[in-house]
Amino acid sequence: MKIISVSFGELFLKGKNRRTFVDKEIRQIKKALSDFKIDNLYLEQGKYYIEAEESEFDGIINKLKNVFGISIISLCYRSSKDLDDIKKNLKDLIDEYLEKNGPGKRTFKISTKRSDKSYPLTSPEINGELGGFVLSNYHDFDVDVHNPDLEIFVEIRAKAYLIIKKIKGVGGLPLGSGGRGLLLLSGGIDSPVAGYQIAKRGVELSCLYFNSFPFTNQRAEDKARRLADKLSEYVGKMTYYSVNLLSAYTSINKNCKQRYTTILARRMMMRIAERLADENKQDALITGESLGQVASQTIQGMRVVDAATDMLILRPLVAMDKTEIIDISERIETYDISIEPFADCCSFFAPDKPVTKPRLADVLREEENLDIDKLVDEALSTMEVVRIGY
Amino acid sequence: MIYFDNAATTKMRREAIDVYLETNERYFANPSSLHQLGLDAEKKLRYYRKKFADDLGVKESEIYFTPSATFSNNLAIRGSFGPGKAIISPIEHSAVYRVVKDVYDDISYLPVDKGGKIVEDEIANKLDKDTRFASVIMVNNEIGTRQNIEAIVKKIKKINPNIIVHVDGVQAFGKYKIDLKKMKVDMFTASSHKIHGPKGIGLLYVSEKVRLNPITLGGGQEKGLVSGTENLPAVAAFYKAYELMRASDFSEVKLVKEYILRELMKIKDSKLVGYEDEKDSSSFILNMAFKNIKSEPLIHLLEMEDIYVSSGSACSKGKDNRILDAIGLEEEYLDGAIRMSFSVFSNMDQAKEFVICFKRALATIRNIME
Repeated sequence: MKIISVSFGELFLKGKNRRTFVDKEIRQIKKALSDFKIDNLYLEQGKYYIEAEESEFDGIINKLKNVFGISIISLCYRSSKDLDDIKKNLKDLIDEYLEKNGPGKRTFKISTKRSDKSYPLTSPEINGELGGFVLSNYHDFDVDVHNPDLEIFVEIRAKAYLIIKKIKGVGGLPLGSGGRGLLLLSGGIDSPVAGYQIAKRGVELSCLYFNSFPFTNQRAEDKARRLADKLSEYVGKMTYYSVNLLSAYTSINKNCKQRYTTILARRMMMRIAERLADENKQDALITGESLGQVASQTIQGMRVVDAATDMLILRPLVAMDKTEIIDISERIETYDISIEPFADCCSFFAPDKPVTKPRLADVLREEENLDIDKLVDEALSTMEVVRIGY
Repeated sequence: MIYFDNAATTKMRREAIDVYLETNERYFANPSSLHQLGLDAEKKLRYYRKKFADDLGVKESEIYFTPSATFSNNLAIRGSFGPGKAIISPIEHSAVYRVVKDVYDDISYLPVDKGGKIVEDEIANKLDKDTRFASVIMVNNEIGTRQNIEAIVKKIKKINPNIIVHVDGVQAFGKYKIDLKKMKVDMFTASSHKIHGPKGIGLLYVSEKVRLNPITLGGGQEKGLVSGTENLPAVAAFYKAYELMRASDFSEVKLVKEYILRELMKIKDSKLVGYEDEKDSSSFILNMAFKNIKSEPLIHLLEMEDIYVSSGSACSKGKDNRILDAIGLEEEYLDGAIRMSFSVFSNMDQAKEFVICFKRALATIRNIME
């Protein structure tokens, strides 16, 4: 019978914690497959196996492709370890291959891995036995160990498996295995990608969006919401916070030099995010900043932003090119939402000539004109909370 | 609710909905079908075509129903395209402006003054024997400026009687007595949803002297120019809305516009964009600009009070301000243009409440931005 198997990749590195990681991973897989009719699930020597109706396979594989922590998804035939049973499956496998690709001369190779060391035959012996079976039954087939048309992987475990097809998984670590983080989500291309990248390392996400209603519109907020919805398809449940930053912008606009508006606003955002993260036990802030991308995303700018709080700020895109970021955003399907043209909260107050290499001392002098605690409180008092994917 | 965004679209009126539903119930068949039900529908369609034609002073065979005014404009421009030059006003709606730019290589522009009126004395200098096509918007959708079409057409035809003159009458249709024969235009575009009719139906008048090529192909409806099953319920409802509009009294709309203009002019650094006088300006559209404000936050503050208006232009930084640029509106006013557009259902109670809320919202925005 046909069956799907899942390899965990990096989890092998986890030493004594491996059991916890595997448990978390299995929980994620079960959750991802909750809409499918699954006949049986079992763990066998480090691989996870899924039994279901064959008609469900495409859907299941597509779903598994987006589950963090999976390195390879394989479609295989399973049988007992009896050689005749294995050969029966091998015949089905080759017949199916010929049906799909048409008749003609072919080369093949058998690669056996034997984790059951008590099995009477060694791996090379199995290769020979099965190879001989193919050669005597299919006269168009020849062996080529270097560059075969068809490579058949055989695994001898508690049962015997023939692997039909290997599909690359997304990699990373199981969700929830890496702590909790708060993503600063704007409507742009970068921040959803940043969230995705960090979540891929097992971090559970919440996200924080800053609006400036009525200086931004509900369409912009709706866009951020849809980005969060899309993201949650990969990262699971999220809490989405929306905070109005208008009073901070107004105060900066009235009391500080215009060139500093962007950097001052970003420092305010970090302070608000820090308060929220402290209350909700999130251990890091995550931003979509990328070095040199815009005026405020310089090394000096980032340092000044960092100095606003004691929080760890993760910037997974810091050294990525825009094209690399766009590639990921297209793959996770946030790109089309991100490029919809609605003003985000900075654009109305954005200075014509922002300071690109701010010095902390200058920024602190500007902030002397602001009642920072009051502005943070005011912003937080406008907060709206939405639970996504619950 | 105070809905002053009627130039964008209007709410369909009850009478038009009723006619739509009745027609949809009784005349649902395809007018092209050979059977009796099809014939009944065809007759009904002919009836409405004649009604529109009679009212506009033209022949039944010169009226084409279309899926929208945008389609009408595209058909008029693309369908009449041939060698030669085009001339348009710089304040045409995008559904004319972009299409002409798309098909003609050589385009000149009729000069307009600061209120958006075409300078009639200069028309002659802009035309020659190679000019093939002209298009003028009768009432501008952003600033409400109304052109004297009869005089403009006369001047154009005097230079070269072969020039095909198209008029985009979307914001004028139903609001003035329109006699197309007297105006001597060759093509005229109108829409239903700006006068409380359904969306998805428009009209194009094409003089029998003009030969159009189809721009879409299919079943050959509307003499091959608008293939696709005729939308009879929408046509019926469109006519109902038009008929009621023509029978309406516009005196209150005029009062509303006058009152709001007078009151908002009292605000510091405010100005009228366009004209005040009824002769040069639609009573249904009022565009005003306020120095150093952004129109979008103002719109959102007003929506919180259930009041709906539009920005007088595309307002965000770096966006297209084609029409306000064309009339030379000063830069510090460009972002702060607001369009208030009225309907026959607008009244003085709304106008008074509007003015109070508007002044308050504007003060809030100015306080944040100064």
